[in-house]
Amino acid sequence: MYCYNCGAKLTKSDKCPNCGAGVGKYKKISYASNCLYNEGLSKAGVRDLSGAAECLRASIRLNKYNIDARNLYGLVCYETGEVVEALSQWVISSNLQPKNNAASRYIKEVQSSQNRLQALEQSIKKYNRALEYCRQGSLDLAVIQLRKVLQLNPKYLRARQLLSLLYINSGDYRNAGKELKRCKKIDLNNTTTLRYIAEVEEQTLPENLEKSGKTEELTDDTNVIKYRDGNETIIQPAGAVNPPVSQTTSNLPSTLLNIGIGLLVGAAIVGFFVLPAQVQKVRTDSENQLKIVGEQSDAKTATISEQTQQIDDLTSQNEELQSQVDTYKASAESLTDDDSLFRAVNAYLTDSTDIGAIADEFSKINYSDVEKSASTEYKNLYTTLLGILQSRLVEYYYNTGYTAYEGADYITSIQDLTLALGYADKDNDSNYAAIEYYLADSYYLQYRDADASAKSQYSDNLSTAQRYFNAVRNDFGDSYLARDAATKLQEISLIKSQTSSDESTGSNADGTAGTADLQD
Amino acid sequence: MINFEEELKNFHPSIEIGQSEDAIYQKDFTDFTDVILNLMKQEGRDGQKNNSR
Repeated sequence: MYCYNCGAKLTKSDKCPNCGAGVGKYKKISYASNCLYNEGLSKAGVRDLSGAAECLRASIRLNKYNIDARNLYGLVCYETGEVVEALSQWVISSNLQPKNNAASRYIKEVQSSQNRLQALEQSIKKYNRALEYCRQGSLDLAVIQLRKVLQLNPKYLRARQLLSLLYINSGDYRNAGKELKRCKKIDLNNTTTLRYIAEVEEQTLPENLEKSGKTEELTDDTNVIKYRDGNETIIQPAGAVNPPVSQTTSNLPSTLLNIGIGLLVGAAIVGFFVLPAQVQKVRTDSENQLKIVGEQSDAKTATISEQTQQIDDLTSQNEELQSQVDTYKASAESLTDDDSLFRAVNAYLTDSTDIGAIADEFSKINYSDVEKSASTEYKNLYTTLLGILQSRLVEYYYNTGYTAYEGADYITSIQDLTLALGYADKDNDSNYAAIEYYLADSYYLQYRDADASAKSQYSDNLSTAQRYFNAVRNDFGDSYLARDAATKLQEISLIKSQTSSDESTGSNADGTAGTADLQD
Repeated sequence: MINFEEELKNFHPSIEIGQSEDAIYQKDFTDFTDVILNLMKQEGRDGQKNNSR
């Protein structure tokens, strides 16, 4: 308990240990509030909700800060269908004590289900409408409305009591008894309910029983209704067109046995009739599935084979086309050479005396490369033109090559003398030996006259020169050119031996003529 | 014998959920403790007045 003045925790003393305020009376009031709360709690436990509500209201009136009493009062109201009152009490409770308060949880639970909340709201509206119908005298409509209310909120005690009243007013004691029985289940000792039950019992007793005073024997415990229907007296349990379950004798073991037997029979039926059919159906379905899958697989295999065949066909076509392309490529090269040949022919036809222009185009023809793939017409044209121009080409390139040789332009002399040698005929050309000699000498002098740093660039020149000098000496042995070629060969041998002795130690050069190193 | 009209007077319309907020604000939250404390305060004030005279 805490001081009302300063909030300090109170002791057994009647004065606050903190502020000194007199707390004796305050404590008594709090004790009384707690006692009433306890009483309300015990009444709620036995379903005497009306009695509990009274005690809890009194508890709250004594001490509004009795949170437990307020929360319990809200619960009691909610249990009797008074939702608004319940929510109001919980809201007040949560405001008085925001922390550690069950009221917050109650509010959240009610508000969490929107459907439930709407149903409760509808039930209140319909109840108010039913009450209006009652005041207007439209009792049938009121009954209809109240039935709807009780569908939405079966625990709405006041609505059920009003419906009972309407049934009593219309003489329908059977339905009134039913509703009052349900009212008793909700709230055991509700005064209104008890009064109405008494009224129903009174109205359903025969007149002679009233007179004899035996009505006292018909207490609430018997739950029997007697009423006259014309000349007949009907006696039956209260609210029981269908006798309530609680009035039948309890026979739990046999019930359980019956349930067990029923389960076994059901299982047997399922096992013998339902399951085999299901299994068969599943088997049939799976077989059909297998069949479909098999057919699809076969179809796919056939498709794969067909496509493999297509691939093979396409591959062979590709190879064939590739070979054609290669042929065309070769032809394209020959086309390039065709152009050179045509240009050479054109140059000859334009001015047959201009050997320089003709030779310039003719030298671009790479006949040896296209000879295999060239057409017959091409070969004939080339051969014809060469036959016409051969001697003039030889003479032209020999002159230009020799001029370049004398001018020490060995690059040009080698190029032109090589062309001259290519066109010349050894057996028929008188200048053949000279062309070959000066070509060899161009190679030799190009190497000999080169700087020491550039000699490596012409390292093959000596061998090439030796080859041509040897040819001159061997093929034209009686001529002065052959004698000069022999002298040049000796010089080349000497140079080679000097070069090799510089590169390695202890080697002796043998530069005499006629030795084995004078080879092609 | 129950009088229907008399009994009907005991049944009052319910407050709807939307009206509950106003209902809470209109409630009187004075409890017995508040009454006693007010009485004690009044007694204290009266005592002081008497002493000052």
